[in-house]
Amino acid sequence: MNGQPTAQNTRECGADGDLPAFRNWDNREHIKELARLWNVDQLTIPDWAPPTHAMQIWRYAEQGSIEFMWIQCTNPAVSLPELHRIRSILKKEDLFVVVQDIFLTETARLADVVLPAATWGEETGTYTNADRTVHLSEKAVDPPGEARPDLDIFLDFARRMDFRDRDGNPLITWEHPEQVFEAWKECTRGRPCDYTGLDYKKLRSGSGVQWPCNDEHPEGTERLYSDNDFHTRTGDCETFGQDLLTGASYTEADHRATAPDGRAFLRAASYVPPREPPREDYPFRYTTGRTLYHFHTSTKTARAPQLNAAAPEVWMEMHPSDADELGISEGDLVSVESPRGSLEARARISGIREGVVFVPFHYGYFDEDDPEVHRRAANELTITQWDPVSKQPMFKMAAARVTRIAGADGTPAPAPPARRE
Amino acid sequence: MHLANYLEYLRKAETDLAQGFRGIGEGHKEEVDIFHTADTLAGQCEAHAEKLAPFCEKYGEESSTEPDRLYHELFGGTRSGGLGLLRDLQDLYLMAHACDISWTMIGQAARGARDEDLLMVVDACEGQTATQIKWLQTRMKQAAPQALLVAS
Repeated sequence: MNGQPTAQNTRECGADGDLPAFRNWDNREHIKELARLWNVDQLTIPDWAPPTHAMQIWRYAEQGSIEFMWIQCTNPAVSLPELHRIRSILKKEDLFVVVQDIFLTETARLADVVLPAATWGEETGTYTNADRTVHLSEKAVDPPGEARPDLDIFLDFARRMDFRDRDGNPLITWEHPEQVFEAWKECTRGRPCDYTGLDYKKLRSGSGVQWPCNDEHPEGTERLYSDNDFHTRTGDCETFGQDLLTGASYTEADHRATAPDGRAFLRAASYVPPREPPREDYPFRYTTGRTLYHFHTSTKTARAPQLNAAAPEVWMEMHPSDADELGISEGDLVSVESPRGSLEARARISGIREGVVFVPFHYGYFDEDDPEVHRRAANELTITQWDPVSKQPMFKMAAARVTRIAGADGTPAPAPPARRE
Repeated sequence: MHLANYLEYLRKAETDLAQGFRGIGEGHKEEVDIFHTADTLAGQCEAHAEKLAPFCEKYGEESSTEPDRLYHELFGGTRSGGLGLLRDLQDLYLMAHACDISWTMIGQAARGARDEDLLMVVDACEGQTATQIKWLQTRMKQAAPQALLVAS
């Protein structure tokens, strides 16, 4: 289950480091299928360990064993934890950084090479929503300036690298989005996300269609698992599973021994206290999150005047009794600090839990007067740590202290109205 | 009766493994997943050693005077860098295996002695030791290609 359509379809197709169409890196048959599909030697597909996750890639770059990083359509200089560390890695002399994005993001500013890319409406392709609905999004206008569709950039790269299959023919034989979609359909045949019953014509003839869409379900599938049969068979499943405390991989034999046979697993995990609990010098639990008006690092939404006007500036939320104790009133300018960094924001006194402060993570530096002053992004304070199974950084559990800097001058914090309970 | 020797050996092996986990966590602090996980696992090992203590006492009275050759030093302090991490993890992997097989032996003896309290301790701990081994193996498999082929 993903939060956004782009997260859903990048995970399905293997662009987030997983194998395409929910194939299992530890299943030799799945690897063989891919090798056949692409006509490559099986050994070219990295199947020797779980995919190297983003946080580990950054660590390798920090240590110097990764010397080239190509960042596409994401803005780690605002979105990852402990931003001073991320900036220092991006600035390393021995790391060559290529950034491909639609605007000059905080990350792109630190790149050695920027590849300007087209956005939706300037390129054709499909999106798959978090509920599995596949939509076709067609090009309406040409991209501005030197910007090119992401697909064209990848194809140009493949051509210049002269990638070949095992017979010496070009590895990539597609040129247009529709050809790519046809190749992707083949890749999904028989997998949970079966697209084989879809094509551009069908997607143009009505609204979106939910996968699996195949001979058995020609109009797609609205509801999954109504027969209580899940994708847990050992030969079918995406993963043999992991220990929830450590992330230790279970083996095929472990998985088989549980006799899954289409049953769903519900796993319990014991409580593990946070690694950085509040303490005397950092008495608050610091947590980050979103507002309705911005998307991720607000690369696009801060450029939409109406959205930006609705939530123009970072703020910090605090419980009234905590605010009283520190002499903080609505709209006061405060400094929020963790052991790793700090930011300045106006205080919003809200119904948040006592002892917890909240800062939205959308705000970076591209639209600041001086983008080199780093006193705004929520992730200046967060901790480099991740969940051992999902590898999701732990954005919600740092310790912080809050200090009042200046009064409000009668203006409330620039936070949108609190949501109704 | 030699059970006491084995119990003492396992208690020491778990204590050593706890120190090994703490050492590797501190020595490779920059690998934050290792730092945190190793700390958690060190806590498990310490708890194992503590649970064994009453049984060491109980069976210690009947202990044989057999000279003890079970002990061997496997972990002599942390190394640095990617390759150092791999070798440190491998040391711990061997130490965890020594604990693992000892739990099996003590489980056998506990069954023979019909010692249900000791069996409960074995049941509670041996699964954790097995998972520690799995974690070490997973982490080493993950680190090996980069450390052995790419890192300077």
